[in-house]
Amino acid sequence: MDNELQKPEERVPFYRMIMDDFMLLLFLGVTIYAIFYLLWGVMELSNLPAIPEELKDSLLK
Amino acid sequence: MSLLSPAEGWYYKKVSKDEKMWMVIALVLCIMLFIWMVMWHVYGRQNPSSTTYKTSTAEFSKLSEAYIKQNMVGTDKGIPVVRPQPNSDVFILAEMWRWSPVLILQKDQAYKMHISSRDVLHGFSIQPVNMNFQVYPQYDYVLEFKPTEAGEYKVICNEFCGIGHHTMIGKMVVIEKEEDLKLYGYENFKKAPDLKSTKKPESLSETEMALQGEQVYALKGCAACHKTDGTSQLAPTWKGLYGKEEKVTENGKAVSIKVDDAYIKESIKNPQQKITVGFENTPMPVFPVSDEEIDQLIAYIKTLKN
Amino acid sequence: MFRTCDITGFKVDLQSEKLIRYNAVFAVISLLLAVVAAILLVFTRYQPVHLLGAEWYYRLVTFHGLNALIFWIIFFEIAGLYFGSTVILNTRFCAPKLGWVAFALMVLGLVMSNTLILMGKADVMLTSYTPLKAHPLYYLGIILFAVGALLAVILFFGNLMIARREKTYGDTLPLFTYGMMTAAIIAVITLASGALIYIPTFLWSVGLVQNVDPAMYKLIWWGLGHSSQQINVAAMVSIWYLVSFLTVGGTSINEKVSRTAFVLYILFICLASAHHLLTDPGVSSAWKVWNTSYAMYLAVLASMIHAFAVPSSFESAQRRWGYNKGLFQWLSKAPWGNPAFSAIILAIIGFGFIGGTTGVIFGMEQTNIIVHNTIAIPGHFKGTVVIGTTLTFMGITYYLIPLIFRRKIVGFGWAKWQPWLFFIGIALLSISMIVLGQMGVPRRHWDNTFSGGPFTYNFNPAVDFFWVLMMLGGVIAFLSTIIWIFIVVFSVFFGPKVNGPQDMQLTISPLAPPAKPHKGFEAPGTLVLTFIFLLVFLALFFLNWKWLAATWYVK
Repeated sequence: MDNELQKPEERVPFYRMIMDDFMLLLFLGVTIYAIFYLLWGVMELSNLPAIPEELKDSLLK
Repeated sequence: MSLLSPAEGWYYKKVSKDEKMWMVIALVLCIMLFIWMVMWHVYGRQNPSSTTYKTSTAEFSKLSEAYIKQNMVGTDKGIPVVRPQPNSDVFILAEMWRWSPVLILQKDQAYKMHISSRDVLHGFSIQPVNMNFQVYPQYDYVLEFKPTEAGEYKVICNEFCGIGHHTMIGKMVVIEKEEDLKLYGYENFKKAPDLKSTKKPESLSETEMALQGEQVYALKGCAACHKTDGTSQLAPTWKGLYGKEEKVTENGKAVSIKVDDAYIKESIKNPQQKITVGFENTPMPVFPVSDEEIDQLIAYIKTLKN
Repeated sequence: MFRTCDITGFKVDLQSEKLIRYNAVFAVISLLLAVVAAILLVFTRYQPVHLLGAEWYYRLVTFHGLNALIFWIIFFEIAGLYFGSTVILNTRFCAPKLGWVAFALMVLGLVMSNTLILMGKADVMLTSYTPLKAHPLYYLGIILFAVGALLAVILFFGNLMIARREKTYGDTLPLFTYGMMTAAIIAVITLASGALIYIPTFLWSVGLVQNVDPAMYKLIWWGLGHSSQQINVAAMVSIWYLVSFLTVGGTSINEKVSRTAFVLYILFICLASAHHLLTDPGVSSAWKVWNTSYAMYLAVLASMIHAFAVPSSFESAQRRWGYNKGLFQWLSKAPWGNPAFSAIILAIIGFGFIGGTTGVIFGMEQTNIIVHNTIAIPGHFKGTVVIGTTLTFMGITYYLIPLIFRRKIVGFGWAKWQPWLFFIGIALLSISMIVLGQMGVPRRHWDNTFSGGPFTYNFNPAVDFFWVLMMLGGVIAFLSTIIWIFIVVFSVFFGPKVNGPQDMQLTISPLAPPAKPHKGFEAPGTLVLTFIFLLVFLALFFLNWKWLAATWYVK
């Protein structure tokens, strides 16, 4: 069908490509959440100091 | 279109003036909200703290007990009362189902509160100022408070912690001048202990033993069941207990005993040996109490005459 | 096997339709369980009655939370996901057998968890914060449900891929499906977090794991807990656009803008789970402020974009139909007799003015201090997930009954009033709870008088008035939900069959005529409404920050 020949391939705008690619969006959504909320949060919880020795000593000695 | 694919050229359609205006306003608002939160950390007086220490329930319980022992000036409804020095470290323990100690604070002074739990999560909720923080076991949350108004405050628990959750309520009073203590019945309390002289004297007089015993009574939780006002709902009252003739069941047999030093010692170390008649449904658990503390308790019980 | 719908013209995969029906039915069952518990809870917190004892009160709070916030919502959303990925795209369901496996897992999970709660083996609240411990089968039930839901979400993506490959829908996903895709991505984040936290907790409950650190637990749990509610936001907004199309032939006035808003949701909305840890030890203020805000405010921007885009889709269409007089004729002459329409408009108002405003304000690091764990928190989320999502789902069901179940709506007269009744009930309930919370009343708490404790506390006497309002709101909401359930059940199982467009009680509007080029605003009425919204927000904002400033100093 000649009258339905494709127009020469138009470059799909970059942003449009991102918007339409749901697998990419899935990846980005999961990654941003995993890094900022989970990873950062877990790192902070794992690196807390103990109660300072002098405070403990002032009570227990 | 929401059901059918969007119209041709949708990607290039110009945004209408009003939608554009709204989006700009919304973006400005969003940025301002973020800046506001950050600025409040600089200029505002209320910010959640960023100071937390990792601890264990055993360690924090020990510290809390030591703190109360060191600083107790009296009791209120069986809970130790502490009057901390301004700018000092205060230890607040949450457990199923009470807050301790009760605090006497000075208006406009700062106190570093170390708050942790002996068991599950609790919710530290000061009313009526309505300040609410989360309390964890294994974590010491250090919040520096400065009360801005005098008065009586209660600490409710607003994180579900079991069937007794709604009975969990503590107290803090904020005073401006010494006379305010009268408002709460605290005027006869000892003066705040001098932090420098915490060495125990060689041997305590009977009165000092009794005072220590009162601390133990409050600290160890005896107060939860053994009241000193004569009521015996969950356990025999301690009022008039010493020297009393009591009916108990031992090895299935009913006997009559006299409440003396030996009986009290046995009842604490081995509560199931003799069960007071009438209290079979509320068995007493074993509490960790040292021999020295038992002697102090006995001295205290002796002072609770009819 | 397909049928071609004689009303909408869509090709409907019969397997998909069956799956949609079954998931929708179990959604309604979950809602029934949730509201029966709810009315008992209302009359317990209303202390002049104090209906349940402490034990059953706490038990049913757990039960209500699980059925309302997880089971009702997710079953309905799965039905929506299937609808959006097959019917709307004129395509087939990729693997129906797996759809039934997913369904079976979800039902099994619902039965297991609910049974364990009612047996008294899981008095831990929906949040089940460790070291509180429930029976292993409770956790297992939730895990099974989550696995089933995750499978359903995967099938959604499978359907999308088939439809894309077989080119059944043109160039770009329709906006409704795009929004459901957003919901599905958030669902993946939700369910993955759920697996991450429930599996170790389950192992701990059987003794295979020594200890589940309470701070780690709460951090990860809220990745499931709050994100599950963000699925709702995306699904709800998608349905708003859908209803605009069905009732007035409206579409988003700028697809790129609406889709961008959905993209912002995908990227940033899950960070806001941090607002549950704002007054917690452990995580730093930097972590709290970043997560609860910056990125979240981009997601808030997304919501504000929809706040304009959704009403303007109605307004623009109505103006093109000819209702062009003044600022609001487009609204006054709208099809208010259509219960789907009224439900959605009320949901938009409720979600925006009650839920959205309080959500942003309560979710700021410092103002959280005056509301954390008070009853203002459930008050807030009744203003989002109940008056927003639930009312929206109720509204769209009035179209699902004739289109998917092919039955006429029994009691259509009642249906016209039901959304209004529900709105009034929940608005009263929600607003009273918010006020009570700001006076310090705790949530999940059986006794306002603290009897059994060493001291007592007397709340501001004004609480009495708001407890009554809360009780009244709860009763009205309960009744209107029961009415809705009756309508749905009677229609679906006993209603007269729908044999063609002539049997439709709700009209499906044709697409609104194309716009004539004109200068000036496209939706001035909407602009006014959004400005009013802004003013209300600012008023509540400054009120709350003023109240915060009046408390003790803390750092």
